[in-house]
Amino acid sequence: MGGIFGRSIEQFKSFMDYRVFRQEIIASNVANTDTPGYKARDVSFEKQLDGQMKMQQTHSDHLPVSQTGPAFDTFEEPYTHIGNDSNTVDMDREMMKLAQNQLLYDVAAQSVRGKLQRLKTVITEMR
Amino acid sequence: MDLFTAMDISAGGLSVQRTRMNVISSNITNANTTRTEEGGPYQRRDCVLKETTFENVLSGVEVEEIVRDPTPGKRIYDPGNPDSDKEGYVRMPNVNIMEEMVNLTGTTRAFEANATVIKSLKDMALKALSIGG
Repeated sequence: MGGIFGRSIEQFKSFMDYRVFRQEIIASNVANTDTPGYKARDVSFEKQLDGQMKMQQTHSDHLPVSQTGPAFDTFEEPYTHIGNDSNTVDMDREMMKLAQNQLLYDVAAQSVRGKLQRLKTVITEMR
Repeated sequence: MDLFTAMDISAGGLSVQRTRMNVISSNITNANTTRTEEGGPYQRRDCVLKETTFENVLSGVEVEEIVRDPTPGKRIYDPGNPDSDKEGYVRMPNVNIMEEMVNLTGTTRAFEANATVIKSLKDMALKALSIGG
């Protein structure tokens, strides 16, 4: 995308993709809260940001940059509260991350919405 | 890779916790059962949970099997009981009500956590829908 929408929409898209992926990882952790030996995981934000920096269309004749496939890196949570069953899921932390992640997703969705709204205002009101 | 995949994972979590609840209620119900089809007192059951892979990086969960706890239950003196042995002792099931209640509480909380995740995912999907509006 580009043109009248600007590049930031694309950036919001990958930001929201990242949030959805993180939410999936959190769902995995919560579902496995009682599975013996399960190691809690999280997604690193840096790699995602890195990918965003590199992905730029420098000429209009170039193929548009598409972000297909998970460009995300997962790692095991370093917070090791290990129970008898060597499970490392910390339920309180997971619930906190869940709420936080959802809010940040909402922020992006709201921004996109506002952006499109302003564009619409420009199109319909400026005559 | 979308919100629905995450919902599938959490739904699997809900189903696992519900199975555990069923097993716990069967244990509590049979806390005094001294006669079973296989003979002998009831043996408490336990769920073995197993991680399943979801799209390479994600993990769901499932009940791999329901196993019997082979620990012998306590013997109580009750010579009037038709299941008592020569000395008048009856072998009771190895169910500890306190332990089952603690497990039940843990299961309820885990169930609620999965339900909370599903609600959050649903809210996110609705938020994304509002972008167009």
